[in-house]
Amino acid sequence: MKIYRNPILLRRLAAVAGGFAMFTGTGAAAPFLYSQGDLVLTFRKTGGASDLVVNIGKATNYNTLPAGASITISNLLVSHLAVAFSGVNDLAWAVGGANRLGGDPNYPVQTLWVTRARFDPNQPTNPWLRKGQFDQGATAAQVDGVGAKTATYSGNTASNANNSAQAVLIPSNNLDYGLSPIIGNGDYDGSFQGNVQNLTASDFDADFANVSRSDLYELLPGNDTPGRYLGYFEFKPDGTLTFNTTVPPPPRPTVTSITRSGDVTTVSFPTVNGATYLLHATDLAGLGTPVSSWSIGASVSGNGSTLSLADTNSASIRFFAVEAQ
Amino acid sequence: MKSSKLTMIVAASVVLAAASAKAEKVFNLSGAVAFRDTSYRAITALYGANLGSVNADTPGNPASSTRVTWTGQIPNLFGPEVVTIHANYNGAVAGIQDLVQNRNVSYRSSPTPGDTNLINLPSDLAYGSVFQASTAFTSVPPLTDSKFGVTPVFFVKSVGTPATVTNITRQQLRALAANGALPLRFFTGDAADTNLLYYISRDPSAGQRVIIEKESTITGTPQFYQWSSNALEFVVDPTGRNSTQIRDQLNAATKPAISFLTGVDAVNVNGGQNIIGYNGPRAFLNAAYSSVTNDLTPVIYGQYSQWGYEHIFVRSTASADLITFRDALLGAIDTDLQTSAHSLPISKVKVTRNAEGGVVNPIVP
Repeated sequence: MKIYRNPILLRRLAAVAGGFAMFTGTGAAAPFLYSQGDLVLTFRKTGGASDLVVNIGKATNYNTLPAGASITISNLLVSHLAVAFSGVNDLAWAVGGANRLGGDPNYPVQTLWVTRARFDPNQPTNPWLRKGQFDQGATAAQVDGVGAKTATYSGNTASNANNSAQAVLIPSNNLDYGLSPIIGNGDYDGSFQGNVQNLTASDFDADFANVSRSDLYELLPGNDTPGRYLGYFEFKPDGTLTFNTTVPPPPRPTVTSITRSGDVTTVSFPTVNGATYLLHATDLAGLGTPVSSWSIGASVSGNGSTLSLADTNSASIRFFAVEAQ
Repeated sequence: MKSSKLTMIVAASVVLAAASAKAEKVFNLSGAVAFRDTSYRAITALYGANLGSVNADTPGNPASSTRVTWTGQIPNLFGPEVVTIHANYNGAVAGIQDLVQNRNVSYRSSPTPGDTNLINLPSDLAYGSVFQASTAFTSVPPLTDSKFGVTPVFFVKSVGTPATVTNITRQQLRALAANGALPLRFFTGDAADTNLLYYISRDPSAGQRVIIEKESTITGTPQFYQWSSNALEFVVDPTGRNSTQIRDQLNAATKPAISFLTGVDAVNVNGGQNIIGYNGPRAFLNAAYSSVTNDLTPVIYGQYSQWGYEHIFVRSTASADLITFRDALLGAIDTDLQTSAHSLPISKVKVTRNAEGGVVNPIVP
């Protein structure tokens, strides 16, 4: 596979970084605003100089969205990513929120909102489990600590373009306010049942079609029952982040083998759960026409494994396309 | 000409005399609450027989007062000049912030006893119970740090906590601080103890809070309660209490609770009998904690690690007079600590550490 750097992103990041350098130290910035129940987005990078913390709004803005919604997380600025990190590869990112004592009375104390990384962007994760109040309380202290300590750091730090009401860059080696002591290895310093962070690939920016997805779960204190799925965050190599309540479209199928025996041509391709696959076919005369106008043969439901569809036609030359719905 | 010369000499002498009469040294102190009693005694000792007057928040117990103003002379330091010292023990972290950010601190303006007028002045010198690096208020160059003592921080239970609560471990504290309250059985091992035990804490500027959170590696944000004497119940506390409030609440709360105090306040919770162990040992060997003398061997040799150094901080640009005063104060404090019930002079401590919650290492004999 040919690998190329995303020239569009690099030009955007370079321009923004240069622009940022011009404006460093100018302009007043309000201290980071945070209160219980806010969802906080974090970015970290091994060996990185900074951690990035972004307030993306109340959890209640996310848990009531209708199906089919997609919102852009506008508080995440490409400029912050450009300053904090050398690129979008190998970034550990997560979203967390908590409701604690004195918080929203509509939610039980120690309610958590946390993400779970999809190893396969097209496969939803198994939900985090709802744990007991005191168990989740230990995590809530860490989750709340991200926002609260960022606000303290922000208020005690000189205002600049990287210290705003919405987002703050914190030196990653700051033992009191850096994210490492609070998030640890992604399990909130050993308090949570698993790693909430998603790690972008080392070649994430090689293809602007790449996506990094994490599912967002709402965990009311419970007894090892699954948390409530709210939707998924999608991070792209261009530095944008969206939240989506739709099921993501299936990936573009790739034909992995094609064989012919007599008049039967068998086309094989990997599939994902929930998608339906159709085999389009045409002969030489139809090659110049849209694929949508080609004949449609059999279909098959995806199951996560490589499947095949067959076309029976005596023509010596046939052209095929696999469509995923 | 002779008469002109004579006139000039007399005039110059008059000017110099007038300047001497108006000269005054003023030193403003802020910082750690835990050390206010030693500070009071040390400063009073510096004045000695030349103390003019002292004005304290609590005249009946000036050593425990938050604001104190002294005036008088300290001849061995500053000759006949009047020396006025303002003190406001506003918290260890607050004191460091005062110096780094040149904040004004509220002091009793007059040394006249009973005068409650206040004045805002910048702090010159701060007592600290934590390293500057443990706070958000670092500076370049850093503050000049003089360590002179060690003070242990105790966990203290309320009068409403049963006798079966004798200890709190690091893990228990982390869980308690995260939740604000936990079932009592978590501390007693008795399934019948279904009540909650509550956590009372200091405000974020308190050095004691930094010490216990660093010691137990509490990295999240704790939650805590305060005792309502009206409701006779614990209510959520969004800000934290000061040491005096914690002492009073532990004495009043008829329900189980744990908080933390240094000895000067812990001795006044049920007569010092409510101090519990931390990870097993207590900080003292005597059967009952005393306001007069305590055997702090576990602190001296390293069995009890929840303590902090006592520091005096000044800015790197401190004046020569301030340095002179600071050095004399350090000497007076060292003398006082030799017989302190609640703190140790650094010369007595046989362990060392480089940060709050940091590894405690024995000093090579």
